[in-house]
Amino acid sequence: MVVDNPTLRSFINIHLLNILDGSPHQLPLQKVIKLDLGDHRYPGAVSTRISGSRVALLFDVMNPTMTRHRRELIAWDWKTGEVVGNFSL
Amino acid sequence: MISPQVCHLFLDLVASSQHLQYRIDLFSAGLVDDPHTVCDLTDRRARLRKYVDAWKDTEALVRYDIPLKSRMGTFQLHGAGQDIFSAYLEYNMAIYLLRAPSSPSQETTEEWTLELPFRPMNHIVHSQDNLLAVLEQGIE
Repeated sequence: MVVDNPTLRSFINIHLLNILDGSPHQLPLQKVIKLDLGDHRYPGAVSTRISGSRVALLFDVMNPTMTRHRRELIAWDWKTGEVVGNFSL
Repeated sequence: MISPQVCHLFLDLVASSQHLQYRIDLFSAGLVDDPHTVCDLTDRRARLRKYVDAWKDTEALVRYDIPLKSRMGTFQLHGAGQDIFSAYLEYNMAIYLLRAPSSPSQETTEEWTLELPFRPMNHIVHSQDNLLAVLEQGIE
């Protein structure tokens, strides 16, 4: 992602849990995936899809003055932690 | 005179062929045949008819009443395999889950609540791997 101000960063944490008891899931290498939003923040409407071991996340990010936003699509393999797609729309 | 004759000929052709009718119905429903199916044509036509009718009539195969624990939160329904998952995301750091079988002849429903050590924003369920992916709200 493009970072306008390299001194500021924000993140989304995605916790991978066992649905039965809420404990960290045993399969993935990373129990928490940290998505870097650069200096943007306040993710807007978030849409999520999962198919097989692939997770796709669609969200809006805004800049600090809330005057500009863009839509990001990121997809990764939740078992390996590998990012398989990352697009600005 | 040619055109009505062609139309009648085409109508007779389709009317006399169950296979052609099935192919047209399948196309109209936006579906394709599973190449590995072992069902014969009669069975496939019956299944397609039942499927199309169920969508047309919005027939509920199974009905569940899901209690909402709170007015604040988001509700999602996840279908996978034999189970239907419903998850109600509460903003007081908890997720209420209900697992219901997709067929009433199977086992009964299960309900449970997960208390989270963070504030959730959204979530995804992948029931085959017992995965619950939860997005944490507002961290920097």
